[in-house]
Amino acid sequence: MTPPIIALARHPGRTLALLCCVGMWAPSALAAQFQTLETGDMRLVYTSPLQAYLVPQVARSFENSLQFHRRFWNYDPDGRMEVLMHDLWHYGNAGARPVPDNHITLGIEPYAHEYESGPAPERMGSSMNHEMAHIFTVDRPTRSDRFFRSVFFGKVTPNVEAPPSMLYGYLTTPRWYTPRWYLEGIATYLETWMNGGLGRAIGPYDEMVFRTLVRDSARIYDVVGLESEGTTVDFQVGVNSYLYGTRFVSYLGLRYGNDSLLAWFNRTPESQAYFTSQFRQVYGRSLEEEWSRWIAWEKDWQRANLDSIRQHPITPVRPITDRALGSVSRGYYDPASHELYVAIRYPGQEASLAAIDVATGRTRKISTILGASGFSVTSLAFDPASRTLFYTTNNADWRHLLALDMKTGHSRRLLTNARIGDLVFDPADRSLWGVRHDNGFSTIVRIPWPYTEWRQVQTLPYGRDIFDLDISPDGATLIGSQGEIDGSLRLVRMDVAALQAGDTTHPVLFEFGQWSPSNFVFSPDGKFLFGSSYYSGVSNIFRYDFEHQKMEPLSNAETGFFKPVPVSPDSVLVFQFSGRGFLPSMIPNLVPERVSAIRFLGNEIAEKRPEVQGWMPPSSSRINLDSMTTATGPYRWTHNFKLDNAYPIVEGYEDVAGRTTVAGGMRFNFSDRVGATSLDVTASWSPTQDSTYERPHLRAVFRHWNWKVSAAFNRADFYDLFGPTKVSRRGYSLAVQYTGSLLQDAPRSLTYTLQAAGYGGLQTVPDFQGVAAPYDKLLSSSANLAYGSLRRSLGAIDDELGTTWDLTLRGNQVNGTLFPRLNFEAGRGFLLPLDHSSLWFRASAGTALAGDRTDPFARFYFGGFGNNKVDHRAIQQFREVEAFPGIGINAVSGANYGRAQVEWTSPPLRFRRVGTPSMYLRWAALSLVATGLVTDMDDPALRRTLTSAGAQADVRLVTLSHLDSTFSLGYAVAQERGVPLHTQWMFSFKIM
Amino acid sequence: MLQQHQIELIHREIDGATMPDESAAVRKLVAEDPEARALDADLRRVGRLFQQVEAREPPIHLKQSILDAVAQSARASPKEVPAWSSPFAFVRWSLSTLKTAFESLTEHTEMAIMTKKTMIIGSTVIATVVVVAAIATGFPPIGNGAGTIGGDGPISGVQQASRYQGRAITPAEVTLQNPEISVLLQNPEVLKLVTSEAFRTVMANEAFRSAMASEAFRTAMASEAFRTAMASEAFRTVMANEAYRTVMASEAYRTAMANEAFRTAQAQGAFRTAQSTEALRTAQASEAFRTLQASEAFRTLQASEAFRSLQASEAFRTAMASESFRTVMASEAFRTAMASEAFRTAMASESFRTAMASEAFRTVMASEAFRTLQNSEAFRSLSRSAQASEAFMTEANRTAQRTAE
Repeated sequence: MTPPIIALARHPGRTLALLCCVGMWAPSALAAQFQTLETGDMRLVYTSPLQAYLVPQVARSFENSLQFHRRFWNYDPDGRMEVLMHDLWHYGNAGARPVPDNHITLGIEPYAHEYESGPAPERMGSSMNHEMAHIFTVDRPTRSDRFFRSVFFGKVTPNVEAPPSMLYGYLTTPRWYTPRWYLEGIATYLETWMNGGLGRAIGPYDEMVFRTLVRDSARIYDVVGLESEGTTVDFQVGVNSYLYGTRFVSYLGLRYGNDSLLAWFNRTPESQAYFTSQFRQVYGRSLEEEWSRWIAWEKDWQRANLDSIRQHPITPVRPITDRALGSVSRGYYDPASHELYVAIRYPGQEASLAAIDVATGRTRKISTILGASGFSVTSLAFDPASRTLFYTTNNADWRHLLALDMKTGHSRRLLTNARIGDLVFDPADRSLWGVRHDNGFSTIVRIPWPYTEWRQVQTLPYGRDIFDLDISPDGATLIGSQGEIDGSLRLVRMDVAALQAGDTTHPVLFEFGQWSPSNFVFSPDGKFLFGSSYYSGVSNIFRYDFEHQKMEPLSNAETGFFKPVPVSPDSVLVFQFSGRGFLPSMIPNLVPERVSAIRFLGNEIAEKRPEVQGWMPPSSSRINLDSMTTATGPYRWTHNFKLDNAYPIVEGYEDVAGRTTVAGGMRFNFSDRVGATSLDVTASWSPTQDSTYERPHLRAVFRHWNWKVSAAFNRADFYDLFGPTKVSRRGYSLAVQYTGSLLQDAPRSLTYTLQAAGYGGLQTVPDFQGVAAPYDKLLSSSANLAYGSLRRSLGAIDDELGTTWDLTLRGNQVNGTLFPRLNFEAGRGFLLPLDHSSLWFRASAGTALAGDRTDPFARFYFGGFGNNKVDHRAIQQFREVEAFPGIGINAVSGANYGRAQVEWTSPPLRFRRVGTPSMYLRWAALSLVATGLVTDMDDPALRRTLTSAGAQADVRLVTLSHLDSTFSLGYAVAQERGVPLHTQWMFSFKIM
Repeated sequence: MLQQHQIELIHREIDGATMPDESAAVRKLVAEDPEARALDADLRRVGRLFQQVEAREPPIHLKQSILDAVAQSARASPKEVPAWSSPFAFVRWSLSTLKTAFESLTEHTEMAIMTKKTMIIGSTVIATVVVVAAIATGFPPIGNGAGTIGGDGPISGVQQASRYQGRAITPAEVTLQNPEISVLLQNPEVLKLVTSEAFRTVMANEAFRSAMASEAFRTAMASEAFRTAMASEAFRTVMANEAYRTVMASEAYRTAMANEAFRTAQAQGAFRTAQSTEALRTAQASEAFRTLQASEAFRTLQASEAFRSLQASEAFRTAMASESFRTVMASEAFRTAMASEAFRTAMASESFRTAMASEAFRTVMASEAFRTLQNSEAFRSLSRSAQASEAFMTEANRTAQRTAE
């Protein structure tokens, strides 16, 4: 009996029919849920009918913020803005981009409260305030920007397939090509004042970061170093953009006033296009120079705050480990083993659960954590009786709940997509408590043993959030930090029995005024609570005495103490903030003499630049949404499909004789408003081509959810101008492809791709350049199953460990003959003890299943590094199955083959200060690779055995903040028995 | 030759202490005056040399050790003898302090006259004093909220940091549209229920949705006895009986049903035969029953065809033999439900009775999650609309699928 998959390969038509049947419902089922609300200013798309309850709030917040920014910048953006609401993340977040349309994405979940790093009131309003600032600062055009927008039929998104689009993108939206700190700096500055002072500009976390850097005489990144290193290897990574951006912008506002500050960001007619040029125009000096001044000022400011803190004795600290741990979760002290259990995430190594010996500081890795989050790594709970650690994976998205048996070291998943965090274990009945985020609500949940299901205890009304739960040793009292819609936070107490009986009141245990209570936990005897608060501006440890109902300080810290763990009557373990993350340390359980407050930069601005106090929009409830609404109903992509932009292109076309000619033409990009459907059409003409048949070139790609349909006529390509790899082909083709997913559980995925294609007018085999096609027509079908589980540590430049495998069955039918081929490849990588250094093993094998093995359609071809001189594909092309460094492209072929490869990747060399803000080097890395290949293994007469050893060095260049380019230089030596050594050099410039 | 203020201006430009207009003046000076240009270049060269000496971060332990050592040595140093330990010493200390202060003041005054820089510092000091005074007096006020100004708060020994606070967002400013429906699906039991086939069947029943509009119906359904009775064939037959529904509409009958003696008599067939039956006599022993019998309404009821027809019905007799049915009859909620037109209409509906007869219906009715749903106004609201019900279950299914993945 013929295996079904081979039968399908033999009948491409049937395969096509199957594809149509399988895929018809898949996108529509999802898309049918999308709903819209439109006003004259906005098209709001929300992904579920149950999000409808939030629509009035989102729409009003949008209009309110829009009206404010219009007045503020004296500018009215063209056309409607797109707003997409979704429920895909664990914590609320948002993003904005100005190309090709002004677009805001809004995750509706409650915000994270970790370390009070992003204080905010009602989140839809504050998100809109922030994102709208992005749109207004990058979208506003001058006359020349408008001219180019009209020339290109819109704002241009850089596209790797058409590199000139990079230039067009800059010409239409120059302020988009700025570093993230620039974008986030002004957005958080404005958001803070629009939120009535709640924001990073008056943020205690931000003060702490810079105070710590100054105290430790640590590096404060310069303007280039921040981008090249600070946002990639520092444990705070992207957060540094917010930290530095907010701080620098605030400094400018304080020192020079808001008029000049806004003049820097405002794209007025007389302004310079590039942000550094505009800086010089406004401030009369270079950005780098002013940045240095800011650093000097910052040091003075922080020294003054340190002096204030040092007015009273500083709490003595005994670090437990010899280095900071990066980001940390809540910790648990196990008196039995004298170990601290905590999840850690440090640049260069995988996030993991660790046991730290409190006496010696020895750190033992217990288990890896998949999908660790930035600040808190994971949500962690501990059952000392069964010696089980409960933790969550996929922490940024829909969290899973796992239990790790510390006796066996084995983890098992308890709940999938549980969406529960803030875990705490109740020793009284072995249940777990947590907070679930779903559809914009926070729900206190209980997960009874054996943890197969969770139960709703109480869903809080929208805008109220609870976090940092803990439970008393007798299981009778639950505590937590509760946030309200106005941004205020308080420590609350809940009687567990009453809570389960439906009591919705949460008596306030203690008010910290404008500062958040964080990570309060019970002492082992249940008589005290230990937690932290920025009450004095510095995060200190506080102790609450239940008997006397009294809150007392336990520390006077210079940097900040967090997440206390009472380990004995006289000692408390805390996590001390340092420039390299959190350092587990011991402090005495003693009340200090006195604790002084520090000053906040934002307060100085509010005082000395009082106009910021007037930057708060009126209430959004005044917006009459009914009168503004122009349409509501299901989202239909056909009604929202339009031309985004069109621009001239240049391409290369290689004919069958190997002659490359230059073609000029146009590219048209269409898409719908949620990005699920698009159509790209490229048309060009090569006037110097000898054959008139081969002068026109056309390519169209239509994508709709999982579907892709592509058609080409005499396909040409920009990168064929450079070679040596050429993808241009004579003739026409039509291909239909469907990609589906069998498993999506990050980082694991199992996807399948089915494709059917027809070719005509061929002179070259479509897959292999330079290989003549014996027939001019080809029907091809393929089925591919691909598994991937790839991971990388914080600060990595590439995947560093994991497993991949890929199985492909392909059938080429020519002149009535079918040439089925089977191909399998697998790879596994290991992270070495050296940070960011990996060892990869790869193997692949393939065979023709039938047909004349000498026919080109039945054979596999190998050779070359695979990189073009100018390229857009992955840098390490030598990893691809067809590559074999050291010999020419397609120089070796076989009807079957086996290939093995081992690769060592070096830790990247980071460049801290090479270049200017507009162009700088980020890193350089080296790969050493050895490859072995055997072809025609079953035929000794034809068999060829080759080995190769080579190296490739890559240097990353960043241009205009957004455009990552890479220079690659490779050299390889190949050897075949009885044949002289082959050597090969490779140089490549990857544009984006 | 460069003047002193020009030299200082160049210094301050390089130190980053100039304002934009001063900076422009420096650039003009440097561009026009070779001496200024040379000085500027020299100073910048020196500045660059300093910049090349990169700050290095010492190990955390080293820093901490030094800090600890400094702190310990300070604490360990011999105690200083107080200046006022004797009258002579106190006078000497006072004179010395006065002299130092005077010298310092003179020197600073001269410096202040000599340099703008010090004038700025002086102004800053004055400004700081003004700011401190302003903070101390609370004028001008900043923000609206309490605790805006720093100082000791409710935690003894800790100075509370100040934070500017503008207008606070109030809950009244937040506009939501029926969030209760979304809240309902936060309950996993409800989620499980609404994604069940049984629930889908029940919700598809128009008569059920109509009945759900009745508060009385919902109250009755919350009763265990009612749900048990619903499971019986006799009950459903009685509910289908036109005479029964007519009788139920009568206030008198509902009043009578509140009387235990009446219910007992009815159960024993007292109203089917002559009033001299044993059952009736027993009932008449009750004062309340006698009062009921004496009422005009009861007499009208007894005279009605519907009442007599009901009493003669076999199904009714069978139902009355059931304990749960009698319990239902005794319940206030059921009697209130009987007064509802919607309830009676639902009972009259064939499809509703068919639905009631189904296992699915009873499963749904018996679930705790359904009672949770019933208590929700949002659910009652959406259950009246087929369209809203469909949307609700579509989302419930989607959520359930995601959870099950």
